Amino acid sequence: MEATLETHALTKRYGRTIAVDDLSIAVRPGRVTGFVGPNGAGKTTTMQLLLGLAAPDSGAALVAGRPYAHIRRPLTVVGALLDAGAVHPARSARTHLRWLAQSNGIPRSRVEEVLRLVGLGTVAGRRAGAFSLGMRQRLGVAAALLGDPAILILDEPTIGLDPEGIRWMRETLRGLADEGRTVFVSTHLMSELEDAADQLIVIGRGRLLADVSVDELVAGASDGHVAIKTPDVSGAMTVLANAGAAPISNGQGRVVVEGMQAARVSQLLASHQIPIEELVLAKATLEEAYFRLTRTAGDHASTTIDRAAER
Amino acid sequence: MIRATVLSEWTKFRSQRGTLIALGAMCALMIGMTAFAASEAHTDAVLAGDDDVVQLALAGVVFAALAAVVLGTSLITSEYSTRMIRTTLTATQGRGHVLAAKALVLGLVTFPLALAASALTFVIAQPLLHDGGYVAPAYPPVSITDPGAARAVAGTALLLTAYCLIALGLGTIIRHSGATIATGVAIVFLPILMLGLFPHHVRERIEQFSPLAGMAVQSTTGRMLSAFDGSRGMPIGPWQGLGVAYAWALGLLTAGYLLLRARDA
Repeated sequence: MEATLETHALTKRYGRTIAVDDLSIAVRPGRVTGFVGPNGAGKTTTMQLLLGLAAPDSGAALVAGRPYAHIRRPLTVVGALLDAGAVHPARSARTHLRWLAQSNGIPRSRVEEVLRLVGLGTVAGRRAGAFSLGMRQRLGVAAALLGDPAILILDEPTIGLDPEGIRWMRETLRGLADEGRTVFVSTHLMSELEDAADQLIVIGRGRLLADVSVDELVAGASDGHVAIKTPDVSGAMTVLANAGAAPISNGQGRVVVEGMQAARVSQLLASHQIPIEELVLAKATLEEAYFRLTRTAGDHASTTIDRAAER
Repeated sequence: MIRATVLSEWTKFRSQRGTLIALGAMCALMIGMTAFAASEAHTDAVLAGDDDVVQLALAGVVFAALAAVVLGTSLITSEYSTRMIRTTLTATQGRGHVLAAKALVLGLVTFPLALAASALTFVIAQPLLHDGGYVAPAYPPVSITDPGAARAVAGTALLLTAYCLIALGLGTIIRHSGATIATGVAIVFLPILMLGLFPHHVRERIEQFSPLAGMAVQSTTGRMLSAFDGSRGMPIGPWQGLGVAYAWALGLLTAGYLLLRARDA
């Protein structure tokens, strides 16, 4: 059994709105796959279709090669965190995990194991209703890990977390992927996947916009983004502008050039005897790279405006 | 798999405060309201009377039924109000298993407790009724071994269980606790309130085909005292009446199952 998640021409409508539109994706093991797109892009619906909570209008959603409903003891194959708030407030964290474990024939000792794993060991007997959002997210992760599944599906697991919690979540996701698991995690805040995701699947209005590796994406976005330090800022600005670039000065002896290779920048400045004290290839952040991608690939923002204008 | 699901539903049941409170209320109302009714009842009959003493000793069922509706409802609608239903469904292969396991746990917990409450009620009510004038020769002392008495006691517990299951079915259909309790109470009690509005033959149909028919299981005299018709024969047999209540439960649970399977969660 390969621990993959796949959709084939998956389509789901709610009334006249199309939530997921002819979506075909494949999520593979051993990496963190970020599932990104603006709110309302269809991320949660896609996850619900994968988990058999909603039925597709057409197409297929497969987990480890089959529809979710065909999986015996599903928690041992897929762990999901959809909504960390979905816990009975009067039940303790331990009891919540215990009924889940029992439903899939998972031994009781595993409950204590995952409680320790997510750092809830000392508060396991407390009512989940008294938990902070961060603690609930940890409980949600514990529930997802209960059956030691090869596949994890997490919907916005960082939402509402403090910076320490976000870092914990990132490290946890990273660690799970490094163990060889398939980790499929949605977010609408790209910065929260920085340094955690290997692959990005980008959707907008239910359609696939891009399926790229993070390295490629960041490298592509960083291309021709050069920062130099020079004592002759105005000279450098003139030379670069004359050569067709659009240099920007930050007013502190630094000039940033976009759309020009580093070699060309240094060659131009050298030929005009403008000294360079430092030349840095600026690496785009994942968020910048993502914005660049969505601007070219989907243009979600402008189509939304178009739609608003039509009304 | 169904065994695992039943076990997990049992853990949920035990750890859900609202459900436990409703269960306690059901037993308390059964005992308390019967004791109250029995201590208020009195008769001057010197010759054999029309009153069904066994039924009088189980009169609290009308109030216990209210708690039974709340109990059955809370078991499923709390899943929706806490949004836990998605976790429950992703953890279980087959949505039918979830509902079947809930029904089984509900029945297995409710019946023995309701049986204990009914039996206790029956015993407590005897001296109270005695004080109210229910004495020999018109009303010789009753015992659980009298014809129909054991059936009435066990039947009362089965009837309360049926009302729980009716509410579970309704809750699965409606998915909202307030609306489910309102509908459940309407289905179980509205017939009682409406009886007076209808002519005799319609009244008899309501007593035969609404969940109210289950009340016939308490009858040991084969006659009932009606506020509208005086003393008359029972509109339906005791077991048949209980069967009607279970037919309602089965019908509503089946409809709930079909909707649970068809709807997106």
